[in-house]
Amino acid sequence: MSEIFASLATELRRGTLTLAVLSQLEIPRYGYSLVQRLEKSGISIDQSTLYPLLRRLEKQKLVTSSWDTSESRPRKYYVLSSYGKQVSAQLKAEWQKTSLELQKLLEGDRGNESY
Amino acid sequence: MNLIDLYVYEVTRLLPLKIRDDIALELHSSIQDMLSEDSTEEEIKKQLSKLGDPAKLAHNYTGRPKFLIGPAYYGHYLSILKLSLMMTLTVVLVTQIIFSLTSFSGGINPVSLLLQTSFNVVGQSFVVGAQLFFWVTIVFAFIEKSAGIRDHSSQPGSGSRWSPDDLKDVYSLPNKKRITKSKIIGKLIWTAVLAGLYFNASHLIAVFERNGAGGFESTIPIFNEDVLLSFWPLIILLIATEVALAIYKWVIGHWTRHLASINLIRNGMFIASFGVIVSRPALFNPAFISYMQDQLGQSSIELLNVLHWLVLSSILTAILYGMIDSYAGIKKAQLNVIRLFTA
Repeated sequence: MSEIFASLATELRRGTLTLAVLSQLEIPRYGYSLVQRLEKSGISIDQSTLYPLLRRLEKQKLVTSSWDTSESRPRKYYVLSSYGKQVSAQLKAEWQKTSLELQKLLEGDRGNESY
Repeated sequence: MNLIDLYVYEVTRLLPLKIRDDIALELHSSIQDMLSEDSTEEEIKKQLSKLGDPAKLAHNYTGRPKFLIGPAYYGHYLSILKLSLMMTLTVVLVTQIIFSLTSFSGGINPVSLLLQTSFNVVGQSFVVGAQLFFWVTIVFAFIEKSAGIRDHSSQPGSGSRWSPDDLKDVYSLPNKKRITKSKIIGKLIWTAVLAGLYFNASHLIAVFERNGAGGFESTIPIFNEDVLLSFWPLIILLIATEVALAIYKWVIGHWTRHLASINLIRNGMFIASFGVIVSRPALFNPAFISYMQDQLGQSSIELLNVLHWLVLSSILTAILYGMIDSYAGIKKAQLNVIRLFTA
């Protein structure tokens, strides 16, 4: 039972991760700073998922990357490309629409139960 | 080397060379970000276990599918595999039985002959089955890796969007353009029979003589076994091509231009191989030639002339057959679906 729940919950969260990451890349960030930011707002993401995800987004031309070597250790910074900004905005709108619809659906359900 | 270096190495050694260095550098700096300046080994271990199995992380980077044959082709894969296994096992059984019957002479105990035959059948079945399993799997894995056969057919997994209009194409597909499964099965059986004949040629293609026990015995093979069997890699290649073509036909189900050109190439390969093998001067067994001389009372030059004519005409037949088959494929591929449907 709890195993089924865990796998369903993971599935539910998986699609939202991309949006969560894109939303934080308005300004350049490196991998670990992104992890910390997301964790602070309560979104836990496996680092073994996040780092590959960043590279995938780069390959899809949604973000661009650059190495910063001015500090003691080199860091790779990612930031939204202009194409990425467009897609991110669309995704955000899509998410808001979906969550609104789902909320209505779930509350309607509760209304039926109390009927 | 410290733990972090080892971890990074374990991840990157599974990655393509192109992206290896960049990922190594990034991963290194990310791991160090997770740690304080003077971390103990305990802390490092804790952070590394958060990152998890290096193999899994590497897999996440490459994003390659973890399966050899995906759901789109698995059904086809199973049916082809079952079918071709059944067919080749039948051929093995039949050739072995013929083999045993022809080598049956009075001296051998029937029980031991039976045992010997079943032993051979099991052994050969295993070898042939393993070969078949290997080749069919390779072909399907190749189809899967090349991201499916891109065609305008309505096959699942072909990548193009399915629409109900595709049904019209299926319906309107003229019968001539369709490749029925029975045709494919027929071709596969024919291939299996030819392969069986080839590999058992010294026993099956021979002069048979009545022996004392009332059975027939193969005494003089017509072909020179050493010469004939020296071509086995070529033959295996031809069989593999034949099986691959059958699988391709099975999956797309109708003639396309692409299929017609593959068919043309395969016919070319067949004719070339056939020509090379048949025109070998030492192909015929010298014992067979002298036997025929005795039987027909002809000189060896006359007999060799006859054999040359036979070889030449068989090559011509093969070329003719290949041309007709290729032409038929091209013709079928060019049948215009839309025109026939609207006409």
